Amino acid sequence: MSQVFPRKANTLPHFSLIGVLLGGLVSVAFVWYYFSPEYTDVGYAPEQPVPYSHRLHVDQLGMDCRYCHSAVEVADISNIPPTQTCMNCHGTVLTQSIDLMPVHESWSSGESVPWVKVHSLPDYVRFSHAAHVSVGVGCETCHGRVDQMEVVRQEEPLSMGWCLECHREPEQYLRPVSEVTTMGFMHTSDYVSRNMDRIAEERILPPTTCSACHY
Amino acid sequence: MITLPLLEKPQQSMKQWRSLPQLHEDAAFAERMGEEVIPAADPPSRRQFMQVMGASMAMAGLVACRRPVQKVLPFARQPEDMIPGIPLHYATSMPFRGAARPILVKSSDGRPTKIEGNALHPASTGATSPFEQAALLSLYDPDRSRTILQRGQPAAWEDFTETCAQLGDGSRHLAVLAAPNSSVTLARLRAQLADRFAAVDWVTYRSEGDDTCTLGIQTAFGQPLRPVYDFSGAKVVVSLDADFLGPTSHNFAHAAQAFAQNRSVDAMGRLYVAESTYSITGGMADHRMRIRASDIGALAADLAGRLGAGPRSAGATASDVFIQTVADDLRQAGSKGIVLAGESQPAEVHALCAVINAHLGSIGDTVQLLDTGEEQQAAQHEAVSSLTERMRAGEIDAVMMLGVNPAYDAPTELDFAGALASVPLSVHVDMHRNETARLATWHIPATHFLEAWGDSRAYDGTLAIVQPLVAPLHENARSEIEVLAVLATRNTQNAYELVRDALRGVLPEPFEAGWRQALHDGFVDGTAYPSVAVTDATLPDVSLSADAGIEVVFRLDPTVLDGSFANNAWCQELPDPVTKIVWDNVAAMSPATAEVLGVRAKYSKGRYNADILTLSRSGRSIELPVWIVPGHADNSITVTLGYGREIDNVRPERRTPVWDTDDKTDIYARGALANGVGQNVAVLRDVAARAISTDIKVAPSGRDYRIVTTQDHGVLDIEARPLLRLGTLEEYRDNPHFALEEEAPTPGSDHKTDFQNYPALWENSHPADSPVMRDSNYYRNQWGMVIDLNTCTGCGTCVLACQAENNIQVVGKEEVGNGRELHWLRLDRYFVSRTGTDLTDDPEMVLQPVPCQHCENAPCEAVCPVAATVHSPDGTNQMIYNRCIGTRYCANNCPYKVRRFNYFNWAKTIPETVQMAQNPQVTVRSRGVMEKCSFCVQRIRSAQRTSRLEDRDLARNEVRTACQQACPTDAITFGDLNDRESDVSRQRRDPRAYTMLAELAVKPRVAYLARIRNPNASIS
Repeated sequence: MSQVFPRKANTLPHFSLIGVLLGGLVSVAFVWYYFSPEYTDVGYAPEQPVPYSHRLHVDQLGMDCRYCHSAVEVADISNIPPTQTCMNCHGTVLTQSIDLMPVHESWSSGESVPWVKVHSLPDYVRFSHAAHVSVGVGCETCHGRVDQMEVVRQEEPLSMGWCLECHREPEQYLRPVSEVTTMGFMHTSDYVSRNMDRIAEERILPPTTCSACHY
Repeated sequence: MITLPLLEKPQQSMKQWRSLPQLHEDAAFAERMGEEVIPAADPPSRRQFMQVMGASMAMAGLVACRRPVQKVLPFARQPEDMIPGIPLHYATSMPFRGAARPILVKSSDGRPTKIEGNALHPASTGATSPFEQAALLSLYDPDRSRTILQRGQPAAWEDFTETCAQLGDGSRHLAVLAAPNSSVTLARLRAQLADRFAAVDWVTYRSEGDDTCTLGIQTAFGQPLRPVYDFSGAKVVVSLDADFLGPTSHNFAHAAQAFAQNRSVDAMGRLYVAESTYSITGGMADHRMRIRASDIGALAADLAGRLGAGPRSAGATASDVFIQTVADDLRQAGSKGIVLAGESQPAEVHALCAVINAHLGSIGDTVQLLDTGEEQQAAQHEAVSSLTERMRAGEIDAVMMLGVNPAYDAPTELDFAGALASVPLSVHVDMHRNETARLATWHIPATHFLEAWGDSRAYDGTLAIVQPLVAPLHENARSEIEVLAVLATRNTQNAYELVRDALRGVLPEPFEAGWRQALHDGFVDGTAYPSVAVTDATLPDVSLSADAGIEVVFRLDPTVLDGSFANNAWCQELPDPVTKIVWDNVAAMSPATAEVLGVRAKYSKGRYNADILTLSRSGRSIELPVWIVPGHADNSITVTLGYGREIDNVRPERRTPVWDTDDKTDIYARGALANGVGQNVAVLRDVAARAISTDIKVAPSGRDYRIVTTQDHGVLDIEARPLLRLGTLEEYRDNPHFALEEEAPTPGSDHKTDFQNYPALWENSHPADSPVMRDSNYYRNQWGMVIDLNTCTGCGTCVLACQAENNIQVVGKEEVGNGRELHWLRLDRYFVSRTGTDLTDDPEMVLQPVPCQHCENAPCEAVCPVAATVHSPDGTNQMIYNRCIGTRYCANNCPYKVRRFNYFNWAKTIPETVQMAQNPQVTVRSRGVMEKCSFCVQRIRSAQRTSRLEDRDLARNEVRTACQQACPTDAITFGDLNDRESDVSRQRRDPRAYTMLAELAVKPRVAYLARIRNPNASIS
């Protein structure tokens, strides 16, 4: 009886073994990269109902973050400003602008401007802006150079591993509380040891236990 | 495997048990013992399983496809003081049975999300009843009426105002049937009605019938005064069928608080209760006698005779010793003695109690009589029957029904529906399109009290403004005063202006300042009714019933009241305090009566199938399942009002794709929740709607019905390990540490009560003391809880407070029957019998709240394969939902059976309005996740964050859990065990403190204080 498979078929098991191993590695790498928030979330920059430019307002006009995001120092969430805040200036500036139509409509009708949420944490996480801002975590540390953004985009993955980088080594990230809203902040050369001193003095011990954020 | 050191039964004289099958050592019961879940009667078929799995896989694939776009909607104009994400609290009041219950409501970004008591208010001091807690869900009830109806057809408000304008020409005869109401605005409008109508008949209608208490006082003193009892100072309290500690009680918070003070072991009073059914007041009694409700009149007369307050009745009765002891004790107590009768009792018995109190001298001391300013009252049943007569005779041109539902609960013999048909115009204002709405020519959807302005008086008369927190959820809804104002003035008026107008001259001047102060405080100081001194009391004629047959007693339901809370899922799923039955009403009776009638509740595989009893009276009959309550009076059957509702469906059908199997477990899917739950017993009442009927025939129907009760849920082999410790005052004085004596030896420990000592295994290196725990700001607070069984009445407020605070979903009758209820806090009800007597005849009853015990050596943590339940540095055991994969090992390993598992996706199917009731501070759990009491960690963390922002330490006793805050008797204490002066530390050092299952060395952070009774030595 002749052989069903040719002799060179003997290499097939070796190839398939290598294939399975490679395939496994590739799929792990695929999931590792493409399923992580760094791929799925970073860079998310949805179109907003009003083409609001942070670059114009913050960088060129020099407005402080807290002029609009006024609750950041007291509340868990950093609020999107009410239309009223826009109208403080735009009641007199650019009253005829087409781009600003939704703002003016909102002001006359009382309906909200439907801003699209960019930075979104899962529902099972409790995060407090006030707790972070009050110890010197800069806006920039999590949100990036907002002053350079025409359209707001997510700069950081906001994943738990990313949170823990700072919670484990806060001295690497903290800045003086007075500099929290500064964009493009440059640390002094001895900032780590200064931060260490502050951490010891003010007992800044970022929790790394589950129930600090998950409940 | 740890072999538990089983105790030799330490107290042979006492037997603790939860249900009759357990007491009788039913083999079927032993089999089920200790299993937290009852297997489903109809396990899914292979086909269903494939369907579900296939659908889940398909959905899992689809969900991942795109990123959901979320919108952030800021205000156009942000209201002052409102910061997004920071809840605001408003003081208001809840009108309840004619009196205001002062409350403080939390508003999260504009949605009311939690109701607390108003701690400033003299009559509340921060406590609530289950009804205040549940009122929140009533606001979001998806079955609330949304449209104005004229003869069943949608109509506009203008159509209604036009009709009313034509009506008020001064020649018509108007009748108003209104629920009891203490609103000043309503009274003012009532007076204005006289200008527009030839005659106005205003009839106050209470579903439970006559206000026998007021009528009784009126008989005794000639005036309808309102009694307020100060239980805190009373040496002897005698309750004649009065469930004054029950949540339906008029002055609930005040009575419960005062009574809790009475239970202090240093100055303990004594409570005697004579009652027909077991109530939670009976459970708190030092001596309890079971007696038919219709025999209580005779008992009261006998008591009065023995005290010299009335004629001596002849002949000794079976309860001779009891009455004589009570009389002697009362005589000794003098003005520190209180006798009070229950709502089921006729007016004469109330009058008799008033006479006894006057004789003792307690009136003016422990009993205050308040002058409510009301005039002499006629009995309600006379007013209602004369009104229906005139309606039938065509004398009434229009009838207004404000917050009442007579078509459902008026006595059938009145034929209210027929009478209503002869009135040309009838207007019904209610939150539901209910039984009466269908008969009325007009139906106006009513607002919830959190949606409309109003005012009300607390039980003690303190005036309060009812302040809304939201605009009406349904735009057509109107408040009662707005509807009445249209009739009284022809104009549509805003309730805000109406209330302000009515209160001008009532509030302190200047008006604006007084108004703002009243809104801020939630009440107007100094507006309580004056207390009056009374002179001679008139002895009433007590007609003694000679009938010894079976009586039926109608009572308000402790969870759904008269049916006004029947469509509230929280109330339906809150177990009855005594029977622990959910989603049903039953005919409760004693074991002996059940035997005579030949009925029983069969037990098999964790399920109860109760025989159905036919109750009939003059041609009308209902079929009600029986339930056997140990300690119930013989020849007496207790039934509760409020079930068997028929509410119209106002919701469009929810359409879902075919593969969506979550619909199967949607409790809201089949129309109004209240429909088809239990039976309406009101149809059996006689024409006077008396609470006690002796002419109802009862007969077994031969069929049975599945009853779901939680009485066996989480039951442990308690005979070997008593979870409940109780003793008498004498025993306590002999040995204050008696509770610890009952404990089995803890391995490696000698009754160490200090929480810091660990058993030998961890003596030197406990994980809770590892560097990672120590180097945390949370470490300095070690949270703990103490529950005082001596003051806990078991009313169930804590269960609903927890449910509201922690987004606990409702699972429905079927799933509760499978042991899958989600209440984080369960109230275990124990009967305790003295051996040597008939065990089921006169057991004592104790309720024990069991939350997660937050064990320091938590057995659940050791078995979780994914570390989803872990210890926090502040010593609590926490569930991390996002890590949980649902193995349920933790629940299996929990010795206290306090873990709850989401078998289905309950949160997914709740209606949109109910979603608004969820607390944004707490994760809404999904299917496949374990959950349990977290010690309200969201409140702890929030307080910690706030104190850090304010640069201060946490104040002592600053953090309060939801159950603690709501508890009317302050039985729950929570706080920091590291602070030796905190309330919880001091309570934990109380000699009565013990922990459950201490022999397991799991070191629970929840301790209990043993129950102490103060029995009279004269009654053995």
